[in-house]
Amino acid sequence: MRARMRFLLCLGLTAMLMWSGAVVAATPDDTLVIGYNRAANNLHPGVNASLPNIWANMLIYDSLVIHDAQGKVHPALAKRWEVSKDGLVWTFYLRDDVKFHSGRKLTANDVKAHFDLWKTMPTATKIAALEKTEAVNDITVRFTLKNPTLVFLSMISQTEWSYSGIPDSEAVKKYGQDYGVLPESISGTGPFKVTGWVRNDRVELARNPDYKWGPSFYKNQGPARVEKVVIKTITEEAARSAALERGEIDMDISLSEKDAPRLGKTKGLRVMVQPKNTAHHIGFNHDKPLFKDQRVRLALMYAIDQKAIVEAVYNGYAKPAVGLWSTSVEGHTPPAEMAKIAPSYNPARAKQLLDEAGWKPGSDGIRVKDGQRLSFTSYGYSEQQANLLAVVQQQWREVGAESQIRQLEYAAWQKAVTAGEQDVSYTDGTHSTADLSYWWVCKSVPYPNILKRCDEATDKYFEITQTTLDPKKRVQAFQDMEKDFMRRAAMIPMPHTLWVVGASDRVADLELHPIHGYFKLLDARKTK
Amino acid sequence: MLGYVARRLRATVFVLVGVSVLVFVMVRLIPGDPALILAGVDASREQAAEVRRGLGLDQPIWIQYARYVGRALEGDLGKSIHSRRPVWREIRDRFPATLELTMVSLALAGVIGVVVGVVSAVRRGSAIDSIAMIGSLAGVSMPIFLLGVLLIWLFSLYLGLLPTGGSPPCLFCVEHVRHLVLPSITLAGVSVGMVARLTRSTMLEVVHEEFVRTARAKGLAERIVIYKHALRNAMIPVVTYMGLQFGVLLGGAVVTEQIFSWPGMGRMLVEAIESRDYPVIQGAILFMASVFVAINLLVDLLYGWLDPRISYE
Amino acid sequence: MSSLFRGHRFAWAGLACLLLFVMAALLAPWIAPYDPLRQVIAERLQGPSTTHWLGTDQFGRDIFSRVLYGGRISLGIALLSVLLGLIVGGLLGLGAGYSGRLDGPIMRAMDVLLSFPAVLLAIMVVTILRPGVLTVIIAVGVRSIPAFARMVRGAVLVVRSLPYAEAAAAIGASHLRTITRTIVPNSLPPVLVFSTLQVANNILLAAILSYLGLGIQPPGAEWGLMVSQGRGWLRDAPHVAMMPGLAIFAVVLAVNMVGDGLRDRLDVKLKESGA
Repeated sequence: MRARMRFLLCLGLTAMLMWSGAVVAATPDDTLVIGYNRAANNLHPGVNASLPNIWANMLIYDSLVIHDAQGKVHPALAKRWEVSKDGLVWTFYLRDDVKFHSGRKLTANDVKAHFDLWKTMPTATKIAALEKTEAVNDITVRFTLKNPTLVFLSMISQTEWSYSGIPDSEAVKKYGQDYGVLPESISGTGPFKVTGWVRNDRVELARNPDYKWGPSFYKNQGPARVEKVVIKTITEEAARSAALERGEIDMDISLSEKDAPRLGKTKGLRVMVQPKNTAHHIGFNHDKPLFKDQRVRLALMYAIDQKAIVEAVYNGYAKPAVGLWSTSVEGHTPPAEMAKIAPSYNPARAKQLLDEAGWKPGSDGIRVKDGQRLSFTSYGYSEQQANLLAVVQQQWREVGAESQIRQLEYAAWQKAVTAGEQDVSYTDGTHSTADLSYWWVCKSVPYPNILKRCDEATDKYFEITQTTLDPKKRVQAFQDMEKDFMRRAAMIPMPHTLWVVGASDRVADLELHPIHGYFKLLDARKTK
Repeated sequence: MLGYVARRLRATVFVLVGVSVLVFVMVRLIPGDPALILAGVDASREQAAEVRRGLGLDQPIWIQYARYVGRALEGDLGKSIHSRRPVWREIRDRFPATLELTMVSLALAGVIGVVVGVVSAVRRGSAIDSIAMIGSLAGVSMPIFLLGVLLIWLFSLYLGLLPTGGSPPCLFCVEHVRHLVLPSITLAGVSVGMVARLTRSTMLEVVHEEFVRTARAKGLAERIVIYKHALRNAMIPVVTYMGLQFGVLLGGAVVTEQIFSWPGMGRMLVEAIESRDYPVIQGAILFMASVFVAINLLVDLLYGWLDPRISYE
Repeated sequence: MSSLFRGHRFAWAGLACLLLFVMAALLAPWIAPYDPLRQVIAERLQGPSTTHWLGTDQFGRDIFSRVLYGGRISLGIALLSVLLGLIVGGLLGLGAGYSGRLDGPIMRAMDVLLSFPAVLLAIMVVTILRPGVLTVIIAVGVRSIPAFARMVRGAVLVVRSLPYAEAAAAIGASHLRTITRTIVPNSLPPVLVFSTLQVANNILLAAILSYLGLGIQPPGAEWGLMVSQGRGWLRDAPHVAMMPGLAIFAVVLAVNMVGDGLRDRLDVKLKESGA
């Protein structure tokens, strides 16, 4: 009898335990809880940044300038700037009312200290054109470039991976290597400051009450509207979507495309979709004899059905690519124009080209030429890429080409493609402008130019984009390069992925940015 | 007995050395270059070489090993390549969570398993026995990640009773328990079946033994006979098994931590392997193996103490 | 007695179920209605129907065909990995049991291997070698080597102490004869039982590797990979994950039942079980 009573008592207690929390499943009114599938590991801007780091840095730091969602550059910490006639000297005039989270005033020395440090880091390729930085006085910074270029202004905008965010130089000096790693070391000028950081679990931020130097394209330049922000790491997709549905998180900025359709129809939630600045592609290894024949490359391009990939791999949450760059990237060719040049889905044409090139269908459907089968390896480094390559594998099979998929983890992939093992490889590319093209100049072989393609025309176009001071000429050169790529099948563009963000209806005035997702959160607020 | 303890300790030291060498070599065999990863996509070859030199990766392998062991004995397991924090600090931050999860799961598996096993043994041959045995087999027969996701689906979404995952905000509070429930049930599922079956079968054996019949002859109530005598003796192999299960659960924690975003060492290790963070990989595996070896040693000693009839080679 | 009888019933049911799966896997190329890689995007995520008995997955592939072909890979990996552990472990156990000099080092090495949790060891092996079927077999099979080594070594020691063995050695019977005639039958019971249980464990371990992205790579049909890829669809299309999940469940359950029955039959106490 007693044992049974005790058992029932335990059962009752357990039930009570579970119920006690069941009612409270909403986030606090003053806190915006954001869920993401990866964790930040270092919050010093300038350190090799992954997306979680960048997002946190957007909230913690500011830069001299910043892009808006349309791609226009705006003043941020700098009120205005001048360029010398020869384009070599850029002078920035800072605001004089900016303070760090530590209370210290921002001076030009902080800017100089950061740029000097940045130049020593591997990420300094962004400011490769920079010769030296000087603090003329407390509110004036002067940059001297090695060569004139329009790129410099873009590269030091905060939207460029937030590398240019200015940290408190005293804190950086004090903590040295530990800056950005120890939560107490972090001090920036941004709308939020770090109050806690549980590694691999969450970053806790609180509003900076003194903040009033927000970019003008926000409705609110002053202190942020939410008091606290928590960025939570939830790696498992299903758990993250469940957390959003339950109200444990207010936003999911890596929303699973599998759940997006259902969650979009769920009461109390909305799904926001924003184009991403991508240049995803499948790149040919131009060293391999098989791909020396342009007809083979073109044929493989014609065989691709982008719509099927969008459906199967991204559940509809992607845009078919016409050229290499997505339409939100500065320097892209207008789709209407590109559609006339770039090969699009046409398996009949693909087969025709392969026939012309001497590849005859074999007994099992795979084409053969001189005893060699049309068979090659395709490399990728994530499960989603492997899935994409599986869809493409079927499409190539239709025209008689056989691809073998090799999925490696990122580090092993990097090694393999640097060595040129692959025949083709999928590559992700996200960038604000087409300056990402530095990936394909001769100097970048073997890495990041894993196409192993050294082409005079490409180098010439790139040179123009980097040195001309005429914005129109720059865009023209990018477009010429892109058209050339498509015409000569240098690589096969892949669908542009999108920002898919799930947000509770309690989050209002949320704006997304084409590269970094949610940006500075100055307008966002929580309603009851 | 003392000789036995000494022998076990000596063997343990040898094993630890062997583990450290094996880990070191294996980590070095992993393809991919941590210097390149750390330097990033944009780095030039010179910059990557510079990074490599800074990490000490350009030295011959035995020098790297000697340095590593020397420092490890002083408590310095190196610094994480990516977070630049001392490895021991990373471990110290995350191991308690894994330990908590593993221990609670083990305890859960033990308690539930023993209860089910006893009930089955007592009601041998009945429908309850069959159901219990099949049920315990079922827990072991599902991939752990499927079980985890199904539990989230059922208890978090449909019933809305428990959180979907994440770490608890406080140490000694109800929220803590609530966050622990689903991950520990998932992880316990791995062992609970075997514990139940082991309990059942050893109890059935022991019930036939001499000294129990003697107790019965004394006229004690049957229930006391079962609970006290049979159970106590059946516990020896069960405890041994559970000690061994610790290692299995430690491994299973890797998946459970991923699914429930439990901030433990399992996740840390998987991420370290992906990013080729050598010091973290080495330190974490060495640490976990050492803990496992230590627990094995304890179990061995406990076994030797509990049952002096056992002789060792 | 009645417990033994019951064990028999379940064990036979398990064996029958296993044989069914093995036959289905072997005959897959002939009984599968579709090519497991064939994608029809327009037909994706359909539930079970007359055209697709178990429905289609997110790429429009027929799940029934994939489960059949997946059986070849999953069951193949499970069996081959146990075989690997058995052969390597057995050889090591023989060496340790016969040679006094090798005994210490070999068993210490086995202890070192045993100190690694199985999942970690498997992850390390896969990371070192490239992902692929052979790698998975090795990664999964390595962890059972120490247990097999111990069992065989134990049997060798027992046999060598028997007067029969001394007499046989005296008349010059070859070692090979001793091995086949006495050691194998002696070690067979624990080896057999352990092997069956390991088959079950190995299927699950291979599934964990697939979940971590370190097992069989897409688009291969392997049950663990199918469950892992399908688990994101549990809300809208549960059959994608549950069908291969049920296959794993059925096979592992069956194997466990057979192992149980074998253990009852052979009256073996598994002190060495666990790891």
